[in-house]
Amino acid sequence: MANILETKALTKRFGGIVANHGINLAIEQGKTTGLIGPNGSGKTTFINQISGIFPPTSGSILFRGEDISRKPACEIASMGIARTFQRIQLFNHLNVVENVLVSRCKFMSASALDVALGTAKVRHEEKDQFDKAVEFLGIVGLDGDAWKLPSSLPYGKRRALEIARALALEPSLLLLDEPAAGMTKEEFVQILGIMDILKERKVTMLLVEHTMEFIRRAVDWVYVLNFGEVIAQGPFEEVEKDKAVITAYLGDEE
Amino acid sequence: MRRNLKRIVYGAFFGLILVLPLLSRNEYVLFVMNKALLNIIVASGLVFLTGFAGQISLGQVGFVAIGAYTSGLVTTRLGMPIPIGIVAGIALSVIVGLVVAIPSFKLKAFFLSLVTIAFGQIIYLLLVNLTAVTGGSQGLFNIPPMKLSGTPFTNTLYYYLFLVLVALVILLMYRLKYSYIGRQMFAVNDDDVAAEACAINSRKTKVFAFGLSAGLAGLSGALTAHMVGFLTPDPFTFFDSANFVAMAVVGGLRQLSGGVVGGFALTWLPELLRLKISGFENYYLLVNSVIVLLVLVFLPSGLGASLSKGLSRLWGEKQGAVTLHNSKSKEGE
Repeated sequence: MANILETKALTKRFGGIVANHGINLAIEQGKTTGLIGPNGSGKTTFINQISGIFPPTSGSILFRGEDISRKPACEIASMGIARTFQRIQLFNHLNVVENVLVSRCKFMSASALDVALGTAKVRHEEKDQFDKAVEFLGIVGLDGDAWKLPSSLPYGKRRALEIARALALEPSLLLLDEPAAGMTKEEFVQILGIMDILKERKVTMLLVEHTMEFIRRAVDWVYVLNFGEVIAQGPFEEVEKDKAVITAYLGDEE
Repeated sequence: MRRNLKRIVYGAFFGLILVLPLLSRNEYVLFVMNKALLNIIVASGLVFLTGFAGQISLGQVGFVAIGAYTSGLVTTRLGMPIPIGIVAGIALSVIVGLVVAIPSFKLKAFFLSLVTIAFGQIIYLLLVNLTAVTGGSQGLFNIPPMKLSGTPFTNTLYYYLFLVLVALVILLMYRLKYSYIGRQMFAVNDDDVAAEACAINSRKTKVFAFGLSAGLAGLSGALTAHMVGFLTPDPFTFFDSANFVAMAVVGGLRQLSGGVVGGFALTWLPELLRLKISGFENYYLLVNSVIVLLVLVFLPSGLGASLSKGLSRLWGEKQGAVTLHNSKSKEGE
């Protein structure tokens, strides 16, 4: 299977700090790739570069063979890379279904003039997208909460909403930044359920996560970062036995 | 039963608006009403820009001035018909609005407001100092009034014209708000990084909001020019920009009715204070400001928001979503 995304010598400096240093990483189509590493090892920086929040200092990001490293975030999202955030970032003044509808804007072909004139085209498209949005809520089990405000949802459901919003872009690559962080046991089980559904739907994912149990269950291949560099990669069972990894990361926890 | 109540209240309200010129033969009342309608257009633009899209403009009167002077100059110096003057005024305001939007790509809140204050100040200084074009502080005179088969518009005719325009502006705002465009605005307002991650072009969104609000301000300015017949730089100061923002905020920034309620209230309030309290002339602006302050402290979402909340309770309706119609929210429940 082909790689959907590859980074070549991807480097990001913030002043004197090298957050990512020469990262070569490949994400295979249809697979779940994990990205782990101690706090501050550059995982979120990596995701932020891929999703275009900030450009790399050097190196390149190839998405389906095209270099996207200088493209603005909205264009990258539009091309098919969706993401969630380490600290949940929802639109708090919009309700649950509206949050998902935001991701459906790119599927609207009606122009501002159509909207101003209130044409039938707008009405039909709005209706279609609304139905679609409810469908995506259904995937993560939120269809019963469509009219609530995000702030009224428990933490686990807010996570699920963020995933539904990302899925609504119909992405070919989904970046999940610590989806299981800070969850209770029940919420953890729920999010694992959602991961299983995503895998069933053959969504290609890059998963940044701290919870080893989660990584073990979810990923096909894992990269380990330490001080901004890849120190190991492979199937999780191999990587967790890797000496460098144990010293850098797992060793700290024991 | 409650449906009927809703019909009666709205019917009475719109009926009153329609027959107002017939009830009051007082030209002063009509003139202030016309001013209120023109202010409503500007304040509604600010509700769209600030309340919906989350961008700040403390220089909005600059766009009003551009609209007013452009239409004034096009119809006097160039001798063009008034509709062309108005369209030119709107067009130039929109173009400048698109340029003023550029700093908003990087700047937020405090810094953006400084940029827009500077913009308003630049326009004001141009009005005062570009004497050859604008007439400086002497002003621009003999701007032709609108005419109906040869006779100039009366205040009553202006009233009905502005009323139709305000209705169209509200209809436009309504359609934009309850569409994917409104959703984009609110998304960028809440979190522009997350909006970008949802494939929303936040720059385009901001440019659209600035362009629209500038166009509405330009329209209001152009209409003012022809209603009043002359222009001086006096009503285009920072104070006036701040007053427009106050209208939008007092009315309710996230409310479609915000611009209407705020524009109406803050046009009439100083007039009423000036009229009713004799010997108080020097203090009416102070009292005006205190009242504005009290509204902001006690009704931070604005008069319009409180009004629509109260009315919804009266009809027994639930408050719906932000960018979706209430009917859908009922289906969903």
